[in-house]
Amino acid sequence: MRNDSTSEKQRIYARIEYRKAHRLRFLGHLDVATVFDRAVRRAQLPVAYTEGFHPRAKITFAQPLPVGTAGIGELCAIDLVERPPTQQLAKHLSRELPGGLDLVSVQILPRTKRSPFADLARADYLLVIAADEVDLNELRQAVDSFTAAEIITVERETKRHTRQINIRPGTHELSLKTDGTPHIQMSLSLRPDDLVKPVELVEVLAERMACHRLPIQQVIRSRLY
Amino acid sequence: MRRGASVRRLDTYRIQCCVRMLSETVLAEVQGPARYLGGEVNAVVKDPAEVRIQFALCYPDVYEVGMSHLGSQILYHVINSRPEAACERVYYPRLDAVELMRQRGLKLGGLETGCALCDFDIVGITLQHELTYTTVLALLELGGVTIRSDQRRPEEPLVLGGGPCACNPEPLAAFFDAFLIGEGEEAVGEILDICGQWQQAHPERGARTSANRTELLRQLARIPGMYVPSLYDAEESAEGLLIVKPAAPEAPTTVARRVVRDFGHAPIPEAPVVPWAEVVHDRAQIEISRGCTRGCRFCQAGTFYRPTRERSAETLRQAAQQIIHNTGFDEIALAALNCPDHSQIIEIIDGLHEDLGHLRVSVGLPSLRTDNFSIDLAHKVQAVRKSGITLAPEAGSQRLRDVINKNVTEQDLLDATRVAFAAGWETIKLYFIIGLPTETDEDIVAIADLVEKVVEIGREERVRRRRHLRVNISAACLIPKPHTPFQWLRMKSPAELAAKQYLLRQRLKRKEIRLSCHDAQAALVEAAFSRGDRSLAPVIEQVYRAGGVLEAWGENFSFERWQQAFAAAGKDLAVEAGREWPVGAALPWEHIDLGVCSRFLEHQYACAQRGLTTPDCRLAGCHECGLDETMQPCPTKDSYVAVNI
Repeated sequence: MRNDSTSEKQRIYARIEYRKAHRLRFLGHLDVATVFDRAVRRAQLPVAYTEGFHPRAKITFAQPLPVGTAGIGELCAIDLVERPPTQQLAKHLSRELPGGLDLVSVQILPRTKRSPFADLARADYLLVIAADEVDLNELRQAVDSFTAAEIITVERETKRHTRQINIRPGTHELSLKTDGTPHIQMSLSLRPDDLVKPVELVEVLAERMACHRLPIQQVIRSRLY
Repeated sequence: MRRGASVRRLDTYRIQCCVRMLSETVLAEVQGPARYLGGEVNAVVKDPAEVRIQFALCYPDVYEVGMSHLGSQILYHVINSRPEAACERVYYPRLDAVELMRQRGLKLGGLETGCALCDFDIVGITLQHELTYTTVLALLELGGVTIRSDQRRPEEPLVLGGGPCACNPEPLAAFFDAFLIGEGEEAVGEILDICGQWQQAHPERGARTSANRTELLRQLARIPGMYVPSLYDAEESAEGLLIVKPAAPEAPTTVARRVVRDFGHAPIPEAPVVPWAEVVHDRAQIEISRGCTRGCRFCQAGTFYRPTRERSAETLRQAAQQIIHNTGFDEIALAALNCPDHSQIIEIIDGLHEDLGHLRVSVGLPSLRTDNFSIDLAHKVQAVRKSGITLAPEAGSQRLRDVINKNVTEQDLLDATRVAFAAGWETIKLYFIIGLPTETDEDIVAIADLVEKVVEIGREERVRRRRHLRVNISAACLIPKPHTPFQWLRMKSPAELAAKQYLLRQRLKRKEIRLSCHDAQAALVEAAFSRGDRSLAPVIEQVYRAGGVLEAWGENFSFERWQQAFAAAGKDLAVEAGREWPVGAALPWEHIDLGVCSRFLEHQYACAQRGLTTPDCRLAGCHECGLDETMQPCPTKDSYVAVNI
């Protein structure tokens, strides 16, 4: 592998920040990957391809986004075999991405042995609340009792069995904002040892409400870092 | 600037202006919402206010199936290239979405603007096979269109049908205003012209009368290839079949199939719509040739797409580049009834590799025959992909292959499989048909014997990793099709076919072999409609009313529901499908003229009964199928005499 032709070429990648919004937030993660693969081919970018009989452009996504969730600071890395001017790459890729999947920024960086996203530790989310369907004071109490607790246990199903997980340590921030459109702002860990999924947090909050439900209008992942 | 790119930019702007079929709240509740999004790359969105004719191009199945259909992409491209017309795609939603739409009173509409089906000017539905017939009704009704054409109000859209099943449109005649027989890319322009003129004469939709509508239908009947069922009366024949006769001066006694004469320059959709979600055929497709002259006697496509026409390697090469540049697909499939028959097949594949290899685009050949699958060709395709290869011997014994005129010997097949295994393929798929005329148990056993030999060759050729060696067998049931030499034959009963399937399964026990059999009950339903007459309309409607939709998906198919619906109409499904007719009997599709004469079909039927073969007309000369008279002259006869394969 080390002596193949690609290793003689430049070992660089394009770090892409993009948005997945509007109706395109209903694309699945694999669909988004296919959209990028096709956009890259249409744009004729100098990308590296995987080996084998079904070569695909080498595109690594930082973190899959569930169907229906919007993302305004999503990240992916496209391995390149040549260094095109960054402006030009951005222009060509941006032209080929469908509206709703929009390019925010491009950086060209040297490839390292580690995955370009190995250091990602946190994701920030915004949960837009259907304000007319919920008592905001009650929700505030639920949020406060969550942040005051030291242990919050949820059940998480893995391939083999169901485990009890404490999601409190991985919840770095949780607050209810009621100025303007009411929304919950939260910052959750992405690390394997204290990972928290937004849906788990929503379930815990819903349980603490009298009506046992938390009507969410939209989930937006605002940042990965 | 490439055309595809400019179209896309227009989309993004317009997407925001359009009201879409399903709102975001509905999308959030359905399974796989991507299929309802619309606005795909290369989708053409035109402002309804700026076009004269809105055409809904419908495929009566779900998005994943409909988006894989090349014919629809061709018509979408042809209609949208006319400035006065807008073509939108319509697919049937999955059942969870249908349920939600019904609850909320939402109508099925086009993916481009969300405009409801009933607000279109023309609703065109492609008819690919009989099990979609109930979905046709479901699609119309969910779109707010009256399903019976004689009850349709004057302001409702014109409902047109086309595709292979229009060869015998009679079972659906009550639901359609008109059918187009044959190839659509030229005729659709004539339809748009007539409809456009008529709409100008009657601009106020609400003020149109049923007399106006009849006037339009009469004008449409003058277009060659258009069949307007309401202009014909049905009479019962000696065999108890409803046979139709013209009842208006505009209605021709026989409707001749439309054929694109200059196929070499016919429009190619160079910017096909790129699906959001994974679809059945998730790749670009390019039609390299149309038609097949080999004359397999069970094959309706062999009649329907006559004569054989080709596109040149140069045309294909240019178009393929455009398609890949406009879509970004990682694979391009060559579409034809039999790819290796193309006189320039090697040049085509070489050209595509040369042009598209750097983009890692692979070239696929979906359909291969066994006798001309050469080592050369194997290596060409092998350069790209080794996933699987499909060969179609159709019958196990030489005797039976002669009956169906599959001019392939066992040696051809074994040679071809050896070439494929030696070239590195690990999976071979073999297509067979059971329920063929004169078939006995020995013929079924012969299938098993042939498959055993193929497995043996695979072992001899030492497929690299023995455990990867796989021979997949697909056993379809023969459905006698109109306009083929087998059109007079009865459909075998599910019990007979099940016995044959059982015998085959018993004989195929080796671990390398996978057998999949066509559902004999579903095949019986297909057979009844394939050769049915006008009296079957209530049966389709009854099954639809009883909840039968998307029946091509096995889990939605109910044999009992079909049996009950036939019974309710005073009929018996097994009897309808199982009727054998004498040669010379009046048939329900007699008024549909595909250009192949009944004399030829009768001769072929007689040859089948005697086990006599008829060689490919390109090699052995004209067999006078009748096309030479209707096409004047037959392009195959004209240009292929000197072709050396």
